[in-house]
Amino acid sequence: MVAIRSLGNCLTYAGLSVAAIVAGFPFVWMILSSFMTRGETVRRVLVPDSLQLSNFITAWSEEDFGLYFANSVIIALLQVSATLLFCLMAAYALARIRFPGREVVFVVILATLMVPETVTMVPNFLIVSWLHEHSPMGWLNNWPALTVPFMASAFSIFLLRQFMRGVPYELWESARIDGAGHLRFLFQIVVPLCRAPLLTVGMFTFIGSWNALGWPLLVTNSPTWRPISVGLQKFVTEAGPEIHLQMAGAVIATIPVLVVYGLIQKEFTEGISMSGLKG
Amino acid sequence: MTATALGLLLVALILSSCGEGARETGGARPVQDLEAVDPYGQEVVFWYQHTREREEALAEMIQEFNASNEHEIRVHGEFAGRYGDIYNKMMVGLQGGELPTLVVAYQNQARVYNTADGVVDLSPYMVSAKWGLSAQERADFFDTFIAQDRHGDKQLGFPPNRSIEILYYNQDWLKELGFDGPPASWEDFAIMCRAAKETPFTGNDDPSRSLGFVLDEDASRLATQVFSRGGSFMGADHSTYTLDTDAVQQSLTLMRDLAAEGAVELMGEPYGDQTEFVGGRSLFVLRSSSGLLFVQAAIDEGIGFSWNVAPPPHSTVKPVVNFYGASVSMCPSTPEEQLAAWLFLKWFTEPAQQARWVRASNYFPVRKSAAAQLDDYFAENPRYQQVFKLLGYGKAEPSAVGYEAVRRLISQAVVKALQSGEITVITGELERQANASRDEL
Repeated sequence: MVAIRSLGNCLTYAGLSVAAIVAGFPFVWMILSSFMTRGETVRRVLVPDSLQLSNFITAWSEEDFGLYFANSVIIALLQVSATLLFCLMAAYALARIRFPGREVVFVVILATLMVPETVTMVPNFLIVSWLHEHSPMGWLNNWPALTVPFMASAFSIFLLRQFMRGVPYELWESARIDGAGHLRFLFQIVVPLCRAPLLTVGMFTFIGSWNALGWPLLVTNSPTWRPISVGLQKFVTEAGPEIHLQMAGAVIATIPVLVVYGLIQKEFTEGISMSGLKG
Repeated sequence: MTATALGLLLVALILSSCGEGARETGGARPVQDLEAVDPYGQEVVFWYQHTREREEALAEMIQEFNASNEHEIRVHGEFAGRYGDIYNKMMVGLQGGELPTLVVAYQNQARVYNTADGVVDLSPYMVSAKWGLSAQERADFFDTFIAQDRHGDKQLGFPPNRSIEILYYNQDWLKELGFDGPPASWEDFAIMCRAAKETPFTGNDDPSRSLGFVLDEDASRLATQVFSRGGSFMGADHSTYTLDTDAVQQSLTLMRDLAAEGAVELMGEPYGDQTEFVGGRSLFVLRSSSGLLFVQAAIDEGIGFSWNVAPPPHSTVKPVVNFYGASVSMCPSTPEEQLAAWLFLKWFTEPAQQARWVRASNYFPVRKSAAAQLDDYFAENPRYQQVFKLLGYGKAEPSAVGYEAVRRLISQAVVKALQSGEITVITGELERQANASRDEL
């Protein structure tokens, strides 16, 4: 019996190790390539002879990378903050407040998950264009076009709602006895309990915003508000890619995501499992 | 979602909604008297795909135009992504009215924009007595390049440059294999590929991987092979696709057979064919002539070997090369802005600017007289000069509306051919699908 269990463990670990290597190899390859010369990337060597730190300097300095990086940080922060606020309130309403049509509203929100982003691109662009022309602040080539259309997400609402449904009703009754309304209950009681799913939503939003390329290209025409993903694209010329510079840029672009993930890794995993999304 | 799928969806969405009132700009305002239009002080926005050195050179040229033109026209160059991104941006812009004045566009893309009144006919500008091209200037353009952008009686774009598809070969490796020069015919090509498979290049760091050729499934690669066999992708009247022909079948059969022998491999990553070539792992690569300097730099910084370029192998009496290149189309705006945009285009295609652009981009000029200003460049880049001489043998791919979708069908057919193999079935189905797709449009 013990032998069978050991064999099972061995197989599990072997399988997981293979999966870890498969998942991690592209990342390792990216880091190694970022330190190579162009010649080494062409020769497909695995490890560079010497570390070409100059790739990072070139990548940072040659394509407005500093500006793109700063833009990405601002866009991501705006999007994360707004998404957390709006989705939190929407999820609370759908989870805790009884009102006519609540289930219908929830189903409609869920249904939007089935619509591919590409399909919503044209209507979104038309709305943003209209707002650009009819509001005092320009939307196109500006941060509103890059952030406002993504300040609420059906997935985030769903994730938070799932968690909030598990908050004991007794807490609400106690809060009511103490004179709290919905907003106070939400921000003083529910939010501290929802730390893990909120961080998860924040992480997903941050990654989505950080990696966005198609939409920023549509709504911007100059580097003023373009994100880092556009900067990375500039290392591919028509004649071919400059892989060493592209990978150096990719490493720079990945660092913030890794830092954020490193800081909230525990809560992120917790948030996924507690909201019932785990496999 | 891939860029391809994105493009398809956008096209479907936009074409389906291009009805009345769909677009605020609503097409070009008719220019009653072009000669009387004053372009003074106009702002022109130019969307392009160039990056790195080309973008820097273009920016310098734009700056020079802005500083020197007598009408104080100001051109603003803007990187708008790659060709596919620009196409998507244009398709969405046609709905929202946010269009540039000038945009880089392949011929088939310009025709799609034209269906939504998204491009201006440049013919009146070209023939204008005051603003147009003189007869001498007009004759200086390569006719085939200008003709590529013609659609009926309309000129939907203007060519700033062109490239041709050529065969790059590893000269050192060919010598090691006992061959004197590049393959003249596809039969020679096959023999050399087989030899390369058996005997790796001595400079190759990884002798376990040795190939004759890596095939990019891109439609332009197949077009090169088909043209060099005397074939074409469309009939003489340009009304139907001809993809179930001997030339197409022979091209695919050869590649399938070589792939089965392990001498040819399907490309697995973007630019993978070129990477394998410059790494000494593949004997040949079919690529654009505009990549000459990039390939040179990659080889010099990599394993370093002697290489050269040649026309693709051919069974025609003279070589036939696939030439291509995006043109610049003009979007509808005011008559003044349109004229300003035309004046920039005209300036950009003057021989002096063309020669300068060639040096920066390694593209081919569109004016014959530009060559006279390139003697030193030819001397420094003998391969460029060699390829330049092939310009007279150029043949273009179709520029029909919907060719973008047909290109995708062709790519799928190439992959299928190399994987499953029943060529006649594949080409038959390809031709049927391509013509059905054309009929739908």
